[in-house]
Amino acid sequence: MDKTILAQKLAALSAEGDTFENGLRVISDGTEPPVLTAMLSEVDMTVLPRKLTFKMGASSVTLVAGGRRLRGLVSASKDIKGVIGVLGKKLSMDEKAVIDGLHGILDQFTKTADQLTVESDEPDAMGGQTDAGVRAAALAEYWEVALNSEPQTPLQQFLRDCAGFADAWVVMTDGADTTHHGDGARLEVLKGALADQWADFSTSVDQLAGESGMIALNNALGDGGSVAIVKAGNEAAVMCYAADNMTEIHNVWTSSKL
Amino acid sequence: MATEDLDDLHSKFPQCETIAFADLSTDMILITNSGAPQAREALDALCADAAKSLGKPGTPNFGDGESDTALIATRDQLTIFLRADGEPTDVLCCVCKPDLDVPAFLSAARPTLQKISSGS
Repeated sequence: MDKTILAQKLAALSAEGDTFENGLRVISDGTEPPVLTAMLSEVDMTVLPRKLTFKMGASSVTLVAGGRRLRGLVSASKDIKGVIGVLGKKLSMDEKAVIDGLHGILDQFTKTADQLTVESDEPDAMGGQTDAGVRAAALAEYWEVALNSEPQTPLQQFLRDCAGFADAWVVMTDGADTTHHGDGARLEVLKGALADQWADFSTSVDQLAGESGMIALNNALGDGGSVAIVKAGNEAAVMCYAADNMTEIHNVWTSSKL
Repeated sequence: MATEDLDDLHSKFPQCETIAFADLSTDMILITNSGAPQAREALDALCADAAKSLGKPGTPNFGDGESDTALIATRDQLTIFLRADGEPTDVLCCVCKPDLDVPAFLSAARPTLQKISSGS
């Protein structure tokens, strides 16, 4: 295995903060990561033969995977059509009809774009033969899906979850602007304020909220909007938002792993 | 009476243990809800935090606007400072538990601040 890929897998395995819903591991909120990406990433992480039951709302599909390959579909909930011809068939790139049929089934399954959970069990079918099935990476390429193998940090997840509430943000690492995103005009106002005031502001934030708290200041930028700051180690995310979104951003922080 | 207004707000939001009205021009807490558990030193520190987070008139903590609301969240405490409309040195300082219903509290706290600030 390529060392870079191996390093990414180990990083993903050691990433903190798996969330669980009724005992089932949540691997997507329906949009991030995209559901099919989350499912193929799960297959890509599966080395020993496992039966993976994915659930979204009232729908479910059960796949068998192993050796980072998807071996086949072993069950699907009754709301999913077109399973005959795919159910119980071993996947092979030589059988494109089965692979296309499975893609159609997963497309139905993922349509509701709801929270996706996975449960891993011992396989009771398709368990043997380690080279059986199709590599997750090959399926991703064939289905034109990006495999998301790099885990996000809690700060990145927080910013992703704030996407609907923040107009612009800057991530400061060791006091320097390392990443920024968002509305151009507001971003420029925010960057200007940070360039002038970061040192004093950062010190006051440490004094007020410690090294892992959150501060929101409504209308701090006047017409430029409000500002929230969240610190995580040597990083800090500074966001510009509309005052009405303050409680939403606080809710995201409360439920974050920061 | 201002104390009664603060007590009334506290009775509606018991997760907010301390509700204090402060004057940033003198750096003093002028009045608190009657059950506020903080000692004098802690109240002085609370007033200092209000000045530091909201900024005093003309010296904002961050940006060039005059913040009317500051929310400081840690995992075990939520502190909210509100600045009165028209009287930028009048602030309400609120020390709360993290499970406070923030939108509901803000809707109730701001009119209380305005009432005390205007002396009505």
